[in-house]
Amino acid sequence: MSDYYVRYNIITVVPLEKSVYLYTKLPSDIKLSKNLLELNYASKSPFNKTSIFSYKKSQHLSIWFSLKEYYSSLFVIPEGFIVYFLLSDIGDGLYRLAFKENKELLVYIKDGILLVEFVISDISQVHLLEQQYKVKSKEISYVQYQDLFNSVWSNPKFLKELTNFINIELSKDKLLFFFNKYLYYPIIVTILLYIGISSYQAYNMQNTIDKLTQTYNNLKVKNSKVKNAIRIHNQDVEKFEKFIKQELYYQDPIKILASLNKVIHKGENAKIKYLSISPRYMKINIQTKDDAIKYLRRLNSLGYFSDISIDSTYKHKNGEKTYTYSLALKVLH
Amino acid sequence: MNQKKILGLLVLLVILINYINYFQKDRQKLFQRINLLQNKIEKEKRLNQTDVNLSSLSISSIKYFFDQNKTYSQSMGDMQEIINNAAKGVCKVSYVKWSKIPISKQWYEDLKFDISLVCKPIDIFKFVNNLKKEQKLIIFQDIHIVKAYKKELIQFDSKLIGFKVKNENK
Repeated sequence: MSDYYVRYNIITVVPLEKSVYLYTKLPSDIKLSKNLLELNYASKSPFNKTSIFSYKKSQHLSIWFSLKEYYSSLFVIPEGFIVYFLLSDIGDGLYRLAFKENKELLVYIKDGILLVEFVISDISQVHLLEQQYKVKSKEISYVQYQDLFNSVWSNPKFLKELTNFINIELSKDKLLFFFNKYLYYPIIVTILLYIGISSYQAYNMQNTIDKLTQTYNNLKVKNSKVKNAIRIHNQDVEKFEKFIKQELYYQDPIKILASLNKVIHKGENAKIKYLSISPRYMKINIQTKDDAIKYLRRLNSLGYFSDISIDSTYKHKNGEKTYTYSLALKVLH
Repeated sequence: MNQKKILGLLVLLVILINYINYFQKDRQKLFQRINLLQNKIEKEKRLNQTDVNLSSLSISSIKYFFDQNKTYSQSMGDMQEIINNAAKGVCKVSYVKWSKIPISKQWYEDLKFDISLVCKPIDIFKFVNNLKKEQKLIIFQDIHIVKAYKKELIQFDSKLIGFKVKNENK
């Protein structure tokens, strides 16, 4: 589990040998911001560029100074805290911890508070502390420590404590570091890829256009004869349509003439005395003893006329009358 | 941060901006051009695959017009012959008048005749049928019918109009 956290930069563990621990007791249970912590304790760090990690339990403040600054992970946690977390579960006491081959850490926990934590350089330091705190040191082997260390990552209580070591503060250095490490090359690669892909795509598209244009031109040449015939045909159609509109816009007078047998039926006592048909008007004189309206209705029913009027009525001596009808012809187009 | 890295990045950004502004082709336009060409090719292919009978595209209506290779007077003579032939044995042509030579800007010319026929009413239709047999488009305009002096006959006055394709070479 820890490998997974470390591999994906979720958690960075500051190794024991690259950090220094400081215990201090606060005058009261105050809340300490990161800035306040740096203001008060940065000067106590033995290192020039350092990150400060703290863990507070009521008035007791545990501080770890790291050998260098850490930016990359969401959580940066000193291994010293992990050791403290593991040993405080076992109980108070002075512990000698073989955390690496040939390297030992001395830890003293009293009333659940971490008072001392440092890498032993000389065995006499153990005796000194045994005398100072009047306790006998307990030894934890390298193998035991590894087991404890590996088990801590699945401990929900420990994961809850991780919130004390969240590392999301933005600073210029941190941003530059982040940019330098994670963004610089991806940006360059993205820009180059963009230029490359878009050029390649445009080149391919231009090639496709050239091929299609060639195909289109070939087809155009093949179809030119047919297209030319269609063009001439369309011109002719247009020409003849125009001709029909200009010259054949009125009713065929011969058709009107032929339909007059529907106006004066065979055997009726009526005669057409005069007939004139021009493109827009028709004039007809009918001599009869019948009513003028009868023929007016029949003329109307032919469907060629938009309007009909009786212009005049002339009465003959024999009692017949000649009616003069004026008719407006419907236009075809 | 390495100064060289910043410089490199800036140079690359300058290249990118210049590329976008001056060298990058508008792919949207290229894409539209491809689409347009594909549509055009599709149309051409459809036309190419269609079995078009070229002779079916020529319009046969031209046969209803008088011969364009003849002059106006020759065409008028032809039309008068058609009228006379149509009236032969049916009506008496009592009057024929040619119209003035038309000055038309169109592709055809009118061939106009004022005619006067004397015949029985039924014979008018025989005359019209005879005209139709000639397969030339001849239309009637301004018809006047009055009773003739002779009993049972009528006088039929009309304008007859035929059409001739104008000879552009003349």
